[in-house]
Amino acid sequence: MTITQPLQPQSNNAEKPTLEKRKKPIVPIWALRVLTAAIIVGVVASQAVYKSGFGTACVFGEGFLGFTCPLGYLGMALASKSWLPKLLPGVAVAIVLIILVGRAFCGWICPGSIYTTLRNKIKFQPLRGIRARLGLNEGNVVNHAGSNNHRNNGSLGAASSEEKYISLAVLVGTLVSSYIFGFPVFCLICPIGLTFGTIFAVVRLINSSTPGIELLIFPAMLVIEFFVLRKWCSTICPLGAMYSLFSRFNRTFRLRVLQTKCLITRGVNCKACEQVCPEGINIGKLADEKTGLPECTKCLECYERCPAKAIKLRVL
Amino acid sequence: MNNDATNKAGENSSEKPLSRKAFLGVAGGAAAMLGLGGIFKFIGKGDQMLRPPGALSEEHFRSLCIACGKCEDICPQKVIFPVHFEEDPGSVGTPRLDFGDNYCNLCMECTQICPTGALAPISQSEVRIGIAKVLETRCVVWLDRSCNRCVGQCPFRAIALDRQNRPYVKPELCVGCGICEKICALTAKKGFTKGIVVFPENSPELEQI
Repeated sequence: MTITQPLQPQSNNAEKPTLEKRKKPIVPIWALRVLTAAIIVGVVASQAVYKSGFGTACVFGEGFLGFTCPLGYLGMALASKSWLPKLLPGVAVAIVLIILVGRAFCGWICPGSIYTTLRNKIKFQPLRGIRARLGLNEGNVVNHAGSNNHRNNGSLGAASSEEKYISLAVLVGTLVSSYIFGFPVFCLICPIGLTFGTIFAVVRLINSSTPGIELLIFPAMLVIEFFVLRKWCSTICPLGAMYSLFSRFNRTFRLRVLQTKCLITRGVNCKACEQVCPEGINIGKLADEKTGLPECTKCLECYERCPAKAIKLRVL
Repeated sequence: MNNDATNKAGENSSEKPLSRKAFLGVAGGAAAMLGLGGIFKFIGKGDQMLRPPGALSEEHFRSLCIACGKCEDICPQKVIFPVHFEEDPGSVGTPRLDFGDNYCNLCMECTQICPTGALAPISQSEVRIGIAKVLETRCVVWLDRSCNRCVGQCPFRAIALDRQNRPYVKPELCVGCGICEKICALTAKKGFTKGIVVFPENSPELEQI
């Protein structure tokens, strides 16, 4: 992972951009993200130990004080061919939250962010040979046609612009499958459900020593999703695809680029933000656009790593 | 700089047809989800499970249960257990009753807490978890010994004695609370296997009566 590549100003550049010296943060943002997600996992796990009836994070609370996983809701509604009015307020809460803070769920709460962040930190790449043969390794990524963009987008798991359609196809596939076969299909392989399922299986093993083979299968599926299919979050996850559909309307808590500071506007071919972005967004190039950045998971990696400190988090 | 400009132009005009790899990904992703649903539906045998009180018909129950585990947590009798992967991969984590250590006291807490309505909030009198059946090859009374502990325990008087003083279940009275199975399991620990077991209503075991 080459995050701070030496910046190469174009040869005939008039002025050399002066960079403010960055202090190394005491607690890096990736650690904060992992911590937040881990606390949520820990809360659910403690609820499982004390048998409070909290359940998983899929559905909790009631009415407008609750939360319902929108994908789980759609899967159940299509499978049962009914509207499930009891759950609709929770879905509305979820959608309002997505519109308010975008896909912050993906970056800060989903246990998947723990796995992807740690994976990118430790650079653990199992089955490298098999993955290379299947063309899944970095460097084999086909960017959109005509691009000579050499970004190393395999290592962080970012999708090319075309590959974003795959998660939409998975989303449509899982909904059609739920309708045909009559049960919420994605819930079986949902990494959030698998994480909590593993925790519950461990709690059960300790409490009542009833081991099940899911103690092995759930973690194995998580390894496949996050370590073998390295682009799970950006390319495959239908939950993320669904959140992207709603975060299109997100206008608050957005990352914006100060064009006066961004090196790109000063003629440097800087890709620092794109290289650290798990979704492969080059926010510098989009500085002048009024886009909502639907894929942005508000992980704040670019905010932290921008060599010119040009990226700011704007509440409104 | 020129490169960047062309890149940006390329990103904006997303009308281009998908590359072969991306197309394979799109088709493969959708097909994988359809296949997953089909496989788990095909190998599923959920209708052989004893579901908690208020459970809808197995097909309807499966469409609504998201395996959140709330019923398991709330159950004061601790008779609700999640289905293990090896029992039925398609309904892994969904609740199933086991009367080996305890019975259902029809407190109806699970039907109240179920967030999705997979367990309908019914009243006690409507509960029909399953039907108990005396296994004539295992019940010690049918094997010429004395016991009949289940008969006195049944709160619904659904277990009667035939002319040879052997217990049998009146299916129309049994709600499947499992108190007989629990008592029998306690006795059975002394070297016997359970002689009375609650089966789901549509179980083939019951049709043999």
